[in-house]
Amino acid sequence: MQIQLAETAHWQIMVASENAIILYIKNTDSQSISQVAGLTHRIKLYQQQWHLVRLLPSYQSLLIEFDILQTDHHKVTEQISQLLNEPIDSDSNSGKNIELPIYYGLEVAPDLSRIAEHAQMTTDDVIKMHQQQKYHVYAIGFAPGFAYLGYVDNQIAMPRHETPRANVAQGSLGIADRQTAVYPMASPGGWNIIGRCPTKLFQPNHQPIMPFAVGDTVSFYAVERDEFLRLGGQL
Amino acid sequence: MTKLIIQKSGFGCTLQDLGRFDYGGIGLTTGGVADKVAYYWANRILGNQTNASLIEVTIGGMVMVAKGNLTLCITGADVAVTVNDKPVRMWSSFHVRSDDVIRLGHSQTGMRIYVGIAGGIICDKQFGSVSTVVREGVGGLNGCQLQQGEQLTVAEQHIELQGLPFKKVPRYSQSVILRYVPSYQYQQFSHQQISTFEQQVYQVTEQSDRMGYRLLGNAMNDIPNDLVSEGICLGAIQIPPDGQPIVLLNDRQTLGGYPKLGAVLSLDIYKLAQCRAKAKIKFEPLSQQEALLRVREFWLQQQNTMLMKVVS
Repeated sequence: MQIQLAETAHWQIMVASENAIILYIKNTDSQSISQVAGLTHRIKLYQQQWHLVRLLPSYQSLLIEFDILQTDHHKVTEQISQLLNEPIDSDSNSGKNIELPIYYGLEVAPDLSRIAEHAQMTTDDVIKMHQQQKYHVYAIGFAPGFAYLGYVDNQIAMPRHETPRANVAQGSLGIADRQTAVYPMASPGGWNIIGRCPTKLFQPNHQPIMPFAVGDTVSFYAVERDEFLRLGGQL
Repeated sequence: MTKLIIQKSGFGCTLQDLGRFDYGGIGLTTGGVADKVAYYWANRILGNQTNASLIEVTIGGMVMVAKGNLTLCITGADVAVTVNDKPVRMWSSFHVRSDDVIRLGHSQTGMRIYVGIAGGIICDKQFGSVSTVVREGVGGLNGCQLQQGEQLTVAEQHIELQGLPFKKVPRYSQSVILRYVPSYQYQQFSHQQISTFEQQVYQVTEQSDRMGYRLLGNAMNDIPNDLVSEGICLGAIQIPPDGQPIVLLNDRQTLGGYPKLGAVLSLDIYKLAQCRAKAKIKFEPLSQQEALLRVREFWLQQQNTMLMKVVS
């Protein structure tokens, strides 16, 4: 089966489905995110003309879905490839910092001991290490208001669960490999849960609808159970 | 004002249209009707626009009362439909008058039933679509399933009745072959893993919904697990480290980090969406060129299918 559709010096274009292709950056570095953002902006200019129905940018890739009745993989690949030959302006938001309160109590942190054991540290040290840095918002996806943050210290990195949980509570703070994120709403999920955030991260009827954008940074601070509840957290 | 009142919501029902496509960049899923074929016929039979909003009902058990003269059409999984206890046919339009009671029985074979109304349901769009995604709290009347007592504003339309010829009505089976396009990380899976995947019959588990269908079979071993999260399209077949596939549907997450070995053909996703727990599933590969042809051919056939006039 032919899965690769095209390749340039910096990009690889692959089949994703009957009506989608996915572009991967070949040599990934700290600029990858802004490269993807720059390319997404440029493609948006042609979105209607080329019958592209949906663009999903992530860390190192861009998924492009097209109208199957109007165009096909090869036509879209050819059009996109032309854009890839020209230099792409990086699109970077210099960003603001958002501080999020976290309750790290074991009752809301089912995977905290697992990570502590794996890291051969106390749970307190895991929490401290997690709070030590400002994380970059690399992508928003999975769910609305779910910001992929990176990167946690290698010592507390942990792969996703073998089987994703059927229900992860709203506000759960998770770690997957060296990424960390807060689940804005209850959903199935495979990340390791180490605490819970009381702040609402997706409010469809408010402005702004979410507190962060790609390019911002996020830092975490610990709150006690009472403060968590006072801030609107749910147990 | 013409209304349709939900007297009993049964196993759950939501407002849906074709879905939400412009907000993937901030994490909003598409939502939208799970069985686009049944949806297409409800709107076509009613002379509605192709993106008209209607009610997607799970399994059935729903009761509605009309306030005003309406024309309805019910498609999807087979259920007994009555108006004031008198049976009416599915896949055909019918008139109801003020205070008429419309009842849906329970489906024995399929999963999703569509209640279309001539002129569509009048509802504000949120992020460009009416589609309800309960997990996100977006769309519909207030991001929720329709509740008992809720009143939907609908168009008062008395139109000529028509129906889909019996022979053309889709049949829903609980034993389905899913054709899939190998894609994404397919090449990272071994021949051994692919043959385990293609040669067995999987079972649909209870943990299956509009977000995704979790399947159960002989596990694939040694699944690669170091992928950076990336965009997920409709029908993507995700393989978590436990080696049991999850086929992703309309309410799927926008990005995900489990490897995917392909994406199921849309036409077969509509069939999967009509499957219940314990349904039998088998996978069969096809190239993206073939997939494109099958999909285009299918919709052309649907467009060329003539409707029959129905005498009321």
